[in-house]
Amino acid sequence: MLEHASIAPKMTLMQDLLLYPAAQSPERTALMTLDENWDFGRLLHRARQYSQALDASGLANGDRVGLLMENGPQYVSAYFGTFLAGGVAVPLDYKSQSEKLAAILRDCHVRRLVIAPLQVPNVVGILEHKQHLTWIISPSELGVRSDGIKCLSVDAIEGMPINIRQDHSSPAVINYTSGSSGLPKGVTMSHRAILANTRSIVSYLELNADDRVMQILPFFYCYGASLLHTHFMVGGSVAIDNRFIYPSSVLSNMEKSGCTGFAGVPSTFHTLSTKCDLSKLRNSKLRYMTQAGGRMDPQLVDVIRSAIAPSRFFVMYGQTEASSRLTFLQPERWIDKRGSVGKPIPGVSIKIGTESGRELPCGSVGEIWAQGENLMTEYWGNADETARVLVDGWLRTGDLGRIDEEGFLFIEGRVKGIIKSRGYRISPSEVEDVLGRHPAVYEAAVMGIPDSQDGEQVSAVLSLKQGASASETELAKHCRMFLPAYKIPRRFVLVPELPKSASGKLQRESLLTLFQTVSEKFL
Amino acid sequence: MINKIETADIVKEVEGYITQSILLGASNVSLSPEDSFLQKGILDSTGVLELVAFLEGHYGFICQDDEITPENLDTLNSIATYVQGKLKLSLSSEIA
Repeated sequence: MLEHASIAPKMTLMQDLLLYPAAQSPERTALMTLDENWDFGRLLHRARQYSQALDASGLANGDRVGLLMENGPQYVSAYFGTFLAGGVAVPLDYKSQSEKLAAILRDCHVRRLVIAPLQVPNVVGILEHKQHLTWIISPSELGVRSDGIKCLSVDAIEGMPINIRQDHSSPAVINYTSGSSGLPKGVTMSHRAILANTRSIVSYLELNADDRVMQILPFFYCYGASLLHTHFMVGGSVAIDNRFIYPSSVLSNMEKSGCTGFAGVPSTFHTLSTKCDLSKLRNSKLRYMTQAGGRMDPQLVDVIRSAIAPSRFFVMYGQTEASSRLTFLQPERWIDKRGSVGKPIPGVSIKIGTESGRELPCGSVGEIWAQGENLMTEYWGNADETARVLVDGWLRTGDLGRIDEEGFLFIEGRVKGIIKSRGYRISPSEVEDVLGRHPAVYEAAVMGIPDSQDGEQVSAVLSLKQGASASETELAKHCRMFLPAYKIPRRFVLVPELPKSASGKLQRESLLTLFQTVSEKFL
Repeated sequence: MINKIETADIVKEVEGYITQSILLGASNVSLSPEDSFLQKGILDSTGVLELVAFLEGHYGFICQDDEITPENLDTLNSIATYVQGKLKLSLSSEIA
């Protein structure tokens, strides 16, 4: 493992991840897409065009900039362009409903939104809700708007450097993530925190300038963004392929592009194991694969490890609130530490603690607390929730775990029931609220049921109003009106009444047994 | 007897399936024969598998894993071409 503190010591701001490799090797490949390659020089020039456009729009230091684009050179340019202009990047899930996007933009007062032409329908939807947008910036001309929002095309901008002053402790990125209450929270990360996490990951993956990662994870997801950060830090490259719904095509591309690394969430590897010829994974250049984004079935880990050997498979654990990574398992230790997510990454400490943070003895199950330079600064504009999870310099992860006598962490569940499915975090209460709006539904409880493909499968237990009826299709269609596809329950179980305690509180623990004892049926 | 299915019929049948069963009747999505599902974000990985299952069941052939590619499945027109190719192959096998 490399000494992480010595990695890229001069990089103190996020834009340094692009400025340094562009200065040292401007002709070196930074990004590969299906159509073209971008070297660091070209990428920096485009980033400067975005930064100049943002500057021309009156962006002040620390202003938030929404980024609504799919993975590609324009996203990466806009991302670094935001930092170059002194802004704070707010990556957005372009598959989210407009109402949710508008709520996020409203929450952190985003006035400037960078979009790709494909996102225009999304913007139309956003503008129907209350928000503060005054500028829309896009790669190319979108046409004059008539609703008071000004447009800027980056193509028309020259791309000169802008002088700004920034501190590495100031906010760099705000990633919105679902909490147990269902309202997205703005995880605010400083330049220093993200770069500290980046150095640690580079260290244990032993990344170098010859490394090239296949990027299928979205950049708006902190795990996806970490691939970009780590590979740029060492002057490596990122091959972008947005076609993972056709996994064989992506595998072929991996081989053709000479990728040395691949990153996925549990459902990614389930897809690879069931829909692909695994012998194609024995790519001569493939050095490693990483997995995070939820619990992966140990049997699936076994299958992938065997398929890609001698390439290495890293099981990892983390949270958006930790700039992505908290622990990793040295691949060789899977044999004797099966099911573990490993030990803390360099620069991070982990403890198992009580509600007050008192450390529990080795082997006890309790909440996982984490400490390190990589922690978020706050939940944007939410002091109460921030104070609840950041306590005396420690982050309460909300996950349950235990540490064995050798210091290896094992995840035992979640304190508050957030579902992690297919790499997404889903709040049960958000889905329950939507189900509750159906005229036939009396009450609903939603939970994640362990699933080998999805990590956890979103599942709903429902009781209907007297005399009412509803089919699975009707309920799913109802959910589709308010939720993105990945949040729609895959399983529905009907019961006369949801289990409650004597005080009337829903007993979520007993819902698990319901899935084992009640057959799914609809009236 | 040659059982030929017209491109327009395949396009109509597949469009109907995607609209009703995958998009669950969402009225804000329109599909033209050349629209890229990838670009429009119409299908996710589960949607592709459901589409493949539909094609196999409805037209009576097996999709090989290496045929599940954007070239074959990313637009209604490309699906129609793919289906016709598979049916022609299947018919040739029967005659042989």
